[in-house]
Amino acid sequence: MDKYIFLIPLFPLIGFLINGLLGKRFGKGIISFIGCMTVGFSFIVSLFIWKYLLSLEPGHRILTQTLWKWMSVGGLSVDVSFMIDPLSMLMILVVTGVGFLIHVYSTGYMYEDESYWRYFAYLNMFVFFMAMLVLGGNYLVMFVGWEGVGLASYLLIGFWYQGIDNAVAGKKAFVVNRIGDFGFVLGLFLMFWTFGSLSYLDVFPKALELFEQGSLPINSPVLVAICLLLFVGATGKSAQIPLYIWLPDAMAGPTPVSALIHAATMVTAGVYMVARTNVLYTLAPSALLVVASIAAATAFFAATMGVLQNDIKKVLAYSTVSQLGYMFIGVGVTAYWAGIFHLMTHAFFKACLFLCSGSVIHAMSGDQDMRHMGGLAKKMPITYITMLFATLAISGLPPFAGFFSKDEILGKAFSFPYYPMAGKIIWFIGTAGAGITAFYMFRLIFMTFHGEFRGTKEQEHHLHESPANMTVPLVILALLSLFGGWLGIPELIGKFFGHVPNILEGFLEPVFEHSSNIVSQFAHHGHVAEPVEWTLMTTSVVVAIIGISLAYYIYMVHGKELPQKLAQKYAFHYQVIYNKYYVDEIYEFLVVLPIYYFSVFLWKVADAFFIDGIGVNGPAWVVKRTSSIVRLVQNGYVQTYGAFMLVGMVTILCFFIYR
Amino acid sequence: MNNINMSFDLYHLWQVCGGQLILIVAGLLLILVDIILMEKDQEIRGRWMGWLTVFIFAATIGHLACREWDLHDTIFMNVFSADKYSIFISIVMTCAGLLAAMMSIGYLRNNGLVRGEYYILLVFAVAGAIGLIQSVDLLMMFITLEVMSLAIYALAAFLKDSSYSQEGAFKYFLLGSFGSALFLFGVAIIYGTTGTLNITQMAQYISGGSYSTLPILVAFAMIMAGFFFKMAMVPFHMWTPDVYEGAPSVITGFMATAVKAAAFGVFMKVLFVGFTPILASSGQPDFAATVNLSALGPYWKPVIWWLALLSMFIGNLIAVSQSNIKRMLAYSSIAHAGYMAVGIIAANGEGRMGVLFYLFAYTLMNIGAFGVVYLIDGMERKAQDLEDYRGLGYIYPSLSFLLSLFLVAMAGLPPTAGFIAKFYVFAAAIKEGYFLLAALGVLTSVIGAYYYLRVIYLMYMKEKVKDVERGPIAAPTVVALVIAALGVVYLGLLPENLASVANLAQQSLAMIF
Repeated sequence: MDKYIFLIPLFPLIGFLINGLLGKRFGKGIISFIGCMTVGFSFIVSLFIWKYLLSLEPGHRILTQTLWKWMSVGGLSVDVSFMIDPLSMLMILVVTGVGFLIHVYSTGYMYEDESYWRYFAYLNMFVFFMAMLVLGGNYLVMFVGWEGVGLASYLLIGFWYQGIDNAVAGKKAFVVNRIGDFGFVLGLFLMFWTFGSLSYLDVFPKALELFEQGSLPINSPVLVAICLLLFVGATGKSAQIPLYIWLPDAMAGPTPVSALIHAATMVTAGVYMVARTNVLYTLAPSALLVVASIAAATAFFAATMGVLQNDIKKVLAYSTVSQLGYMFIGVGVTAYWAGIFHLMTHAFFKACLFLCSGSVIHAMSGDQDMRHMGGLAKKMPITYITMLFATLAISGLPPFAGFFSKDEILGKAFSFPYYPMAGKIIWFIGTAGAGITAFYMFRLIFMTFHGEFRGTKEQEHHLHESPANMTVPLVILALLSLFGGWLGIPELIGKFFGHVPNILEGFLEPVFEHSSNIVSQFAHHGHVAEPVEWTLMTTSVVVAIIGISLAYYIYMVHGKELPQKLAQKYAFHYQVIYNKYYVDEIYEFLVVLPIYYFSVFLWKVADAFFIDGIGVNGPAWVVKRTSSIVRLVQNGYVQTYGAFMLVGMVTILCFFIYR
Repeated sequence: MNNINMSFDLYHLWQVCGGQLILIVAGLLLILVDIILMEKDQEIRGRWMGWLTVFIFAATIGHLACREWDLHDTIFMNVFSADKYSIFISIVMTCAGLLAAMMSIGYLRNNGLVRGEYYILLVFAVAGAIGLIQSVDLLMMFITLEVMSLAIYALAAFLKDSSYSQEGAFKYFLLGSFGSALFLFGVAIIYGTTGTLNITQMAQYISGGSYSTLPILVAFAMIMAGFFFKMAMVPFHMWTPDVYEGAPSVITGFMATAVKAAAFGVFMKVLFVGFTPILASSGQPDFAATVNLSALGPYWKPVIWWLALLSMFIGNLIAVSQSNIKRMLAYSSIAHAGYMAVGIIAANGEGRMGVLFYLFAYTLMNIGAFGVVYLIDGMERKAQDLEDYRGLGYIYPSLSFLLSLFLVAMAGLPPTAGFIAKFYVFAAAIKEGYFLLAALGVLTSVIGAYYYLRVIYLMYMKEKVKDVERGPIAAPTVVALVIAALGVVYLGLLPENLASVANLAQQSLAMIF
């Protein structure tokens, strides 16, 4: 089966090339067929490989394929190679499966768009790069995918290019991601420097070997540096503090794109990368502490920012940032499988939420403001039910998927093996954030689907349920939001139903085996007693119910006046949160403007003295330039240039002599 | 190795200097052809001259690539040498000439500038560049450097009606003379101290223990300054934006690649052959393994460390605030010089190989970018502002796609040649422990991504500022652009082939004598 791995990325690539090069001449039917089926084929191939993988012994579930030798430099040899183990298997199933559903949904949502072919070409390109990211057998192939999905997301955010907003948002996403990539690349360089390789199958055994020999102690500085640098990359791609700012703006793109790229797949790449690197992270507990702390902070603050947003997609955007925080809490407290579990369930329910919001926006003729909605439940029953399922899932109520994954993460955080005290704090923050999540998600449901319609008459007239190619994916995703969590039922609950096994944990176990060995060897024994576990689980459910009740009280019982009253009473807090703590403005002031002005300064003052005639003595200069070429020698520029050369040479000489 | 090779016969000359011979003879013949075509229609004249030049460059590449690859030989009492290193760089430069000549056919017609001397100057420029890279003798280096530079000065000033072109070329000429004077003065000091102009004999003298004496250090600094000028390294870079902006777009592309390749190539040669005493005293052909730069290394390494850093930072930072695309690319070329210099600092085989690879990759993407720039320009300076690129993605999808590809490659995104090239040089530097420099270099490439990307993002925005009409597209330009684009992608996916050739080339530096 390992011979066929390359087919998974190949199909979307073919789709991209056909639609991208010839799509302009095709009808929409052919474009949709090519766009969807290529991803569908990838999904089918993935299923076959999965079946084959399951037939192997759990310890030997690693398939590799090397296509060609890519480059070799300085003892480092990098191949274009793929690797499938349970972790990448799960990821590729999510990517192609959810990706396929969203492609199908897009055939309905984007049908009216004039550049339909371009949209599908970009979408296929995204799936191709995402498959490279997930399947890559070394960090460099992962990096190709890593950059490629960024590029695809940049193109898709700016897809409509109607407003300057989209283009700016796209550029912001790309530049912020580049800052993250800076850390990622440095991490790779350092890894290559330390281990002499970038291939997963070389680096991790090498690290373990060095660790067992004692030459790479736990928390050794170089390892912490590698992990932190890689995490900088992850904060960029997966929208964590301090680089989360691009994700909410990225919602300017088409809604299915938000669902696929900015919720279900691309933004989770950072979580995948950390889980993939679990051996190194486990050997660097300080880095893990940083990951978990930043993740907890992100989970909480992003949740608070979601509370006051009125744009339906912005609410979901901040909730995505917040949920990514939970995933990072999972991988940060060495519960790698729990992070991946939440990644999977989140892909289901968040894709569902976004697609539902797309359905709502579609019905509202493009209006995204929740203040204009209300009472849509009657008009759009399927959208309402599916969205309610997904909302229950994200709020963490049993038996929906989010309950199991979030609870697993928070439970593991409570017993963080390396830093028990910090773990308890992270648990507390995470649980509080979960309550806020339940609050703002139900605020969204109440404002959108309940009460009376607040939009214009014209909008009301247009309200309709979406066509089948949009609702069928919704229903599938809603069912997955309900049942998806049952793959990872904790032992505590499982034993009530005749010892239901934790399927997912067992499946992923071989990937994280070494890490759990190291943890059990070095850390405080972190197992908590059964009553404590029950208490934690009950607490998170109670907190979620409190959040929902509060939302019900404020937006349903006193729907008319109370929100305004509260806003007036706590005007300062309201403003600060409404403006997202002014983080964008602070960044603009502290980072963007200084770089720009520094550039202008260097250019105009330190360099060149400005020739184009816009400067202070511009007009005079234009007159001069027309009069005589010889004058050029007298205008000072050439002398300055020459002087710089002379100064440069004399400096070199002085260095040589007085070295 | 110290014997002067006195033998001379025509076959020998052809084997060693074939490339130069073809270009010089063909260049002289082109003058005759130009006179014959004087009476003819502009259109016919331009086409004949252009295609002949393309043919000449193609023939030169053919000769260089097909000559006996393992032959290492010298001629004219060790003035010129033929070795894999110089042949590799000669091919890079002739490729730059070939692509530039193909684009020039359309460019000159669009600008109403069809004149025979343009092509003749181009041929002589490449002939000079090949001579420069083949020189082992410092004086011949100076002469061939001037042959190349004089042709380039004239080409830079080729837009007679444009004050920008005149001004830029004049500055280039004045400052270039200054740079050459520094170089020549350094050479004179070398001769006065060591009694030789041959770099290997000079190395032998220096290895006698006098490497740190004052005259040698002064000469070293001056020679470095002369080369840094041509390489456009900060602070010897200030002419670059003015000249690149003013010169005809195709010539700018040629200057940024061929001249840079020549300067980097010959600088590495002087550095690793001439100022590497250990090599000369041991005479080991496999010096790549035994190289020890301990003698002069502590002198030049910190210098290039700082200049590379400054070039990367200043080039990238100033490019951010440029509004003219040619000026922006000029600053970007300063930054690229900085990246290449990182490979030199590594001073190991991987680093030199990385620089050679970088030169080739940069040639493809840079000439490609300038090719698109001239097409969108229509006439020189009609549409060079970044604002003019707004919305072009919808009017000229293929051109915009090509420009995006070249810019993405320059930004160093995988899987393009630009990424691999940067990876090679940075990996080489890290191997030698220059982690800080590599880190800062990667940081500057983040800034670089910003301004390269801005062009792409402007092209794919719908609101236009003004209507831009591109010039008519000539067939050879299309071919050149497609070759460059395919090369950029090919080198990104399968870099190993070129890299192994470049590795052989850099190893042969040890064979130069």
